[in-house]
Amino acid sequence: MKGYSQILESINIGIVIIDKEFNIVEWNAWMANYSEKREDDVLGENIYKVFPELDRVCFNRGCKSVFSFGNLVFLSSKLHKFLFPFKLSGAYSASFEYMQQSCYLIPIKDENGETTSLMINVHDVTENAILEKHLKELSYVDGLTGVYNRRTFERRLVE
Amino acid sequence: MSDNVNFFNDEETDALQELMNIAFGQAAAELAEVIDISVTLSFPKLNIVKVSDLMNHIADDVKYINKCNLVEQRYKGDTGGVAYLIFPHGTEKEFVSMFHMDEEDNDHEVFIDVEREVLSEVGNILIGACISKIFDLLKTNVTYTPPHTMIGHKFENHFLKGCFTGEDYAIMLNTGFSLSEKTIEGYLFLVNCQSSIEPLKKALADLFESYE
Repeated sequence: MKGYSQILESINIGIVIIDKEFNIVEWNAWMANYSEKREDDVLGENIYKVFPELDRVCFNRGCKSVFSFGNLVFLSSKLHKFLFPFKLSGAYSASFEYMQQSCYLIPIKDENGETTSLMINVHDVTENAILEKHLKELSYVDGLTGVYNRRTFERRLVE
Repeated sequence: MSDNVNFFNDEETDALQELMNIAFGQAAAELAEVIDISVTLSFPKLNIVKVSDLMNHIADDVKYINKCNLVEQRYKGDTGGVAYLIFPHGTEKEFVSMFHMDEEDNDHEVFIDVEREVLSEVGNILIGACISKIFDLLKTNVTYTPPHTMIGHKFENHFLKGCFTGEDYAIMLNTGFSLSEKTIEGYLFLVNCQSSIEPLKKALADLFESYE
């Protein structure tokens, strides 16, 4: 168990585990670091109380799906940008106000196969999001004038 | 059952189809609760086909196979396979208006593939619901890989490579379904590899035993 605890604390992704009542039962060091909320302060608290911003269709629907079907749910940064609003500072803050996150909602089952809790994995994909945004801008915007190019015009016509 | 090579006897075939029917019935009811849209699933069909003939069998049902929207997701447990959710091309816009209900406004962004992401997210839930209910009834656990989604693509033979070899047989379970009073109609194919047959037979035998 000691090894498991060390992995949880040193891994470079956010890990939160909530029970069926949405109370937090695990909050790793990565989450504590970026949220500035210590593990001791959030354990046992309802996740919606700690982060009211989570009360969104995508998160509520994903949790319902995991607890009903026991499947893995992926919440894309392209669509939702982030689940947990972690304000960016430094170089990346010029592109995004908040850390861009890809999140997985993963069922944790007991020995009878019943989903008893849910693990949220939070991946910081801000760097990829900046690169992708830049690449897409290059393909839609004229490099010299900075206005939308012919491809964008044709795409908009089709839409 | 076409291409019957007697992997399952008649009793097992009927039981598997009935089990899928019960599973999909439960999945449809719970999906309505989770995604807030009515879901209708038709009576499932079971076929055991040679992997090299799989494409033809899929094309028999899916007339728009040359240009379709596809969500592919692999699952693994005692039995393993691939789920394919196939919709006609063009339905992706319906998906966005039906399911993209968050307060997020991506309309002004030409840089985001909203349709692909919404299809992927909803497809993941539809596939997860159907598979989990089948394996719940069979009392076996299953895990999933993240979904892969393609829009306006041709369903091609090489999609089936990787987890099947040409001479293997595959267990193909498929159902037609419709969302929100036939606003969107499509197909779900669950293709299990030949090595899944024994675990499936065992799970069925355990299930029969529990009713005796």
